[in-house]
Amino acid sequence: MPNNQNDVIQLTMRMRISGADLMQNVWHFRVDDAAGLTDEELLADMQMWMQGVESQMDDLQHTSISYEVGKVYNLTQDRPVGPVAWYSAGGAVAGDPLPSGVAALITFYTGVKRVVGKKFFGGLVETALTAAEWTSATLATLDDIALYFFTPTTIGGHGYTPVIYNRTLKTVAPILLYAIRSVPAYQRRRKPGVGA
Amino acid sequence: MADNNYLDVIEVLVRSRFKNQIDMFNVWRMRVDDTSGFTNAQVLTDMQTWVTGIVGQQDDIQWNQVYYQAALVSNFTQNRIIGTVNTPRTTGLKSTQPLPTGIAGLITFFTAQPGYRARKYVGGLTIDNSLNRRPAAEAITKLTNMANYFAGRLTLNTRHYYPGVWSFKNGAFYLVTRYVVSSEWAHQRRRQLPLYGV
Repeated sequence: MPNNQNDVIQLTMRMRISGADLMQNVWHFRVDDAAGLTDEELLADMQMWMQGVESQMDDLQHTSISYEVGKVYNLTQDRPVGPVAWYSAGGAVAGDPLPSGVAALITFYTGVKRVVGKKFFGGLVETALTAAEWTSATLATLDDIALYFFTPTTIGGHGYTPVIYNRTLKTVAPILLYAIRSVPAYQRRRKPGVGA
Repeated sequence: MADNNYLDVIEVLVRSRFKNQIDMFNVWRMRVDDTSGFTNAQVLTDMQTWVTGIVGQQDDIQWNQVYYQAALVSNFTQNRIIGTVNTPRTTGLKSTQPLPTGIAGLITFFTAQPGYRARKYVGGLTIDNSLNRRPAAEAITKLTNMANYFAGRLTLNTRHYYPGVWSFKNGAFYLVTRYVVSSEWAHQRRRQLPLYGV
């Protein structure tokens, strides 16, 4: 089945902390090509895009973060398109990891009130901090990730616009600006062995 | 006549400031446990001893840019301030990098009354207090030492106090019966000043 122009595509990038706690980032794109594209083309494009993000993320994340799978879903057609594989096994940074809930945060803003995209990146290491704020190198990498998602882009010869999806209204809004917090954010996680 | 009567609840507000910017504090309450009651001067002397003990544990694991403020001592029952006592040091002792501001060690004090407990968050700790995402052994030890300063009937300069938890809902004071030091990091959301971070 083709993926049509203006269809909203959801890419979920799944990771695990020490093989236990699940972390994921969810990204949304709008298909811009008038001709649409096949599932195979979409999967190839999403994998390619994911590789771009991954090549930045693994420079931030501890070696105990394992990359599991990317899942592609056509929200407009309400159907799964398929899984895509990460290129690498996981984070590349050695050292002591920060507490599991500590995360870097990029906030993407749209022109619509309260429609914002928050992307938390967990699994960072202690050396990413100085005086309780992210180091400049960490902020630079986060900026690379943000920029990678910020502007309309061509992947595999197909046009996409990154968008923020409003689950309540089932509408999308294009991104107008983003902010990266220098102060670590916190994403509550279930403690290992506690709850389900 | 004593200023602070038998069973009056004494409140001690132990305050510190992360980077001299973000307030952190813990509220501790204990009741007067001698029938004679105590004068204000005696309570301040005793609370000076007690704060020295508590802060003397936490300063070993806190960052050297955690600045201690004078602790505020009040008679909670009589709703009046008794005075302030100084901490034994002005800052924490650790010179290594701090953990994120919201990360804290957590001691939970339980009472015999189900559902009534007190949580004490100890923030401003440093990265060498964390090992593989959890509090390291030294942090657990110091937090346990802190907890022991608030467990059981306290003898301070020959006078006695009993730690407990005040229930605003019931208007009652429940004695602490046991405590747990969490082996996981807790998180305490902190408001940040306008000039702190972006």
